[in-house]
Amino acid sequence: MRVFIMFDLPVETKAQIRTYNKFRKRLIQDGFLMMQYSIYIKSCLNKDAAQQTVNKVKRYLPKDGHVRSLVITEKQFENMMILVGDEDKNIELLGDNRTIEF
Amino acid sequence: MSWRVVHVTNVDQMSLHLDSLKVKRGDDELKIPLADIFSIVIEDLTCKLTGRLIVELSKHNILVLVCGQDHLPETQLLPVTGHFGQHKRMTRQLEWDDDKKGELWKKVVGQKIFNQTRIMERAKIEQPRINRLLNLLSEIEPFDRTNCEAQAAKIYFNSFFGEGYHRSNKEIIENAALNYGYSIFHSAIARTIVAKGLLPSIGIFHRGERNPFNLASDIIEPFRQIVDAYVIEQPPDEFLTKQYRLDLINLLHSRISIDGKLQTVIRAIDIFVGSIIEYFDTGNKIKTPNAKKIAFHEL
Repeated sequence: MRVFIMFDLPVETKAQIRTYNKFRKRLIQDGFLMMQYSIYIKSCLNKDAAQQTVNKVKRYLPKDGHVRSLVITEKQFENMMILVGDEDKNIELLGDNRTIEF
Repeated sequence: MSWRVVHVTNVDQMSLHLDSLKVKRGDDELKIPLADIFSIVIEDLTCKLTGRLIVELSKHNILVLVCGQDHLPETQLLPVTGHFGQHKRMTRQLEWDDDKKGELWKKVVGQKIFNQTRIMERAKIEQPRINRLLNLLSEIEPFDRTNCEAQAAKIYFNSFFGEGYHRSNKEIIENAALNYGYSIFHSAIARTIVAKGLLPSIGIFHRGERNPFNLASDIIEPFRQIVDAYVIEQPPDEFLTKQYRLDLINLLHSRISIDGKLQTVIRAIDIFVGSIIEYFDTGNKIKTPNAKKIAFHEL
């Protein structure tokens, strides 16, 4: 399963920038990877784990702005076409493979 | 929810970055969330680890194995305290009842011998040999006083590798493969024991004075057959290649039946150890891994 978190946060005042940075950092700490600006993904073992992840994000949402989440299966994720550019190495690495080799 | 195994053979440096393991190799920098990681096997003798990372790995109860030049796991990272209720858990463990220990050991050996018969059936060993094991299975006493375990093991291993076979013979390549697989399982079990706040050196049956993981040596018994089955079905070549070692590590993801469901070995260890704690606390049923059904994990 892949969990998407997509957001738009206001960054006009200093306080808003701080909120934005904090939120972004928490996402990364929770294991999310930046796929594109404002789009973060995380791979989870199963549906329950995905739901748990979303619930966890809900606990530190910013007050303003716009945030949405989406859960899709690994298969659906693989079907995503990249029209321009290359796949990020880290995103490629962190799929549903249980063993990671370096 | 830790489920990934990281196998390191060629890396420059590993450090911590925002609750993730940052791996540096040449110009590449890759990050893996610590919460996802179950274990890290380090085979690269020149790889650098930062102290900060080691602390966080231990806080997340991640099993870290460092292998020697022979690629066999040599040392392991264990947290000083792995569990918040550690003191209580340890005092209880020291008071574990002797009768109950005897019964538990009987059950563990029984399951081990049963699992061995399943593996023999998988490999199409002739029925009389399997029957000899089933006979032993019905004769086990508490604490296995009549030593059925060793008798069964002899028949079991000789069925696969011939009559002259001996487990301690280092010349036999299968032994090296088995030892590698066992030591991976052994450490994974030790990690779970510590994570649950138990003392790994106080066993149920094993009481080796110089074995710091007596309890893990007890618990591993009914799991060994997964390694056996793999090594029997896919024998190694002349020496343990990197791919073969990786395959053996991958056995942690193979599935075994426990409590009526197929679970990964990582999860099954967790359920088994948890049920042992409950057994001593409340007398609940012990959930043992059953090789009636096993499935290997494919990459």
